[in-house]
Amino acid sequence: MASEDEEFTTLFQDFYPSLCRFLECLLGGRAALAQDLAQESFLQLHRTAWSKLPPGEARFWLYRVARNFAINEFRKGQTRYRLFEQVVQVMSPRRRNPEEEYEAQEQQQMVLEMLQSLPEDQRAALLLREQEQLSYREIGHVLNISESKVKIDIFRARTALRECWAKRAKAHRARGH
Amino acid sequence: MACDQSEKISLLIDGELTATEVRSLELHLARCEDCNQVRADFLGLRSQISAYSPLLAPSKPGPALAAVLAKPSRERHQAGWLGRFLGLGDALPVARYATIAALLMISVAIGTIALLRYRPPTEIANNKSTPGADVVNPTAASPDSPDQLASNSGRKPSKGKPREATPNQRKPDSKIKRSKEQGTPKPLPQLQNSAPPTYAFVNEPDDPAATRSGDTDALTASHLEQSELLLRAFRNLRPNRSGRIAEVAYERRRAQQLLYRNIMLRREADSEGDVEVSSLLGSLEPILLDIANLRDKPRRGDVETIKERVERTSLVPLLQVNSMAVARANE
Repeated sequence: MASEDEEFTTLFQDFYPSLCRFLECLLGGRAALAQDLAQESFLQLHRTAWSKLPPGEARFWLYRVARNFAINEFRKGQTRYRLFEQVVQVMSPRRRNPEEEYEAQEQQQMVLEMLQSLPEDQRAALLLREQEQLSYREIGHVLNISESKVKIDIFRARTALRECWAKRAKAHRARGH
Repeated sequence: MACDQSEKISLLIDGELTATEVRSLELHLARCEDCNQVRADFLGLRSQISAYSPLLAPSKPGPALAAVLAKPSRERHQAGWLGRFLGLGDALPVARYATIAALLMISVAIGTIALLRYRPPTEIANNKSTPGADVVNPTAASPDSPDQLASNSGRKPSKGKPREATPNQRKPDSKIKRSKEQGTPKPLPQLQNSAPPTYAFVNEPDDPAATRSGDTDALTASHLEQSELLLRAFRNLRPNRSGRIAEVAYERRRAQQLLYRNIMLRREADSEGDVEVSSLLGSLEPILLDIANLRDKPRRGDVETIKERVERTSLVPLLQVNSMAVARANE
């Protein structure tokens, strides 16, 4: 039991931050909710599946369940957490000077907005690839889809984001002149 | 764009092309400006997405993570799946509790009606029931014994006698408990079973047999005992000559391990409606959390504060009594 708990703690330490980030991007920047769901996923893992999963499977299980939680949240409605997230954003500690902070925030906001313009399945596949460096096979395993679907989803997501990026750059240039 | 190799470029940057395909595409990229631009854009997007840092930085790994794990889980648990289903996760506590209470009452009412109307087929088939069926004995009946279903009807055994004109009052609680202890599928309606299928696929790995098995009691008893030992050891920590507590690394690690289990068992007790165990585990949790959050070489004051809380809440004797009681009940 003790060694199982230690293993679980290690897993938590290794994957909790990245799971939070994945969920936050998936949920359009709802940071507190993302942490909440990440913790809920770990609790589910500990409570139900930890002893049954084959070695190395826990990570994929976590992302799968976390994504399911996120989908449930989408279904529940989008607005409930918005105000709270804004408060969190305002209250969260700042590490850089205000100008840098503002730029970084704007950049992050833009990334989030662009990601939000994608269908959820494409967004999840792209995030697992770009942030978690999972292979197509692993992504397919997490999202329960075929590798060829992963390939298409990621490609479509990138193409859509590229177009979106170009439009924004154009609009930005137009505003500048 | 004259040539469209962007799909291949997407695969290239993900390392999903064969060596031959990579060579051929690299040759193409060397002379095609458009495709080069696509690659640069894709890589730019990658760096933007991978550089994303959470708005609310997750807690640092280590014991603090155990705290983060424990705290929101409790908050969320209060709303529970029902609250989440109803979208009450962030509602005001009063409204949340009121709604949950109202729903529970409705569920209980429905359950009671169902109980009153329900007669297991075996009971109808054989009106005679086993002697001593009202005595809770987990090992007496096999899980699939028809008599068990009959005994679940809650009727007083009346071997050799005609059935009484007025049947004894049913005891749903004891029936549910007996069924749980015997590890059989519950033939009677349960509150949990009225759960809407919102979380069906999230709960896919859930195994009710595992979470509700009789092992839970044994686990709870062992957990209470281990927590008691930890608190005793912690209570006996003495400062050294310099007035500092030498080291609490072991206690910290132990508390962290027990904390996870505590959360699980508390949730289990909550879902089973075991208020006593749930409240005991609930008062143990913050203590475990505080110990888990101590520094390896903590200040004396920090340790003393926790010790005081342990004393004030009389946790050690409470744990001792309860671990014995749970173990005895489990026997």
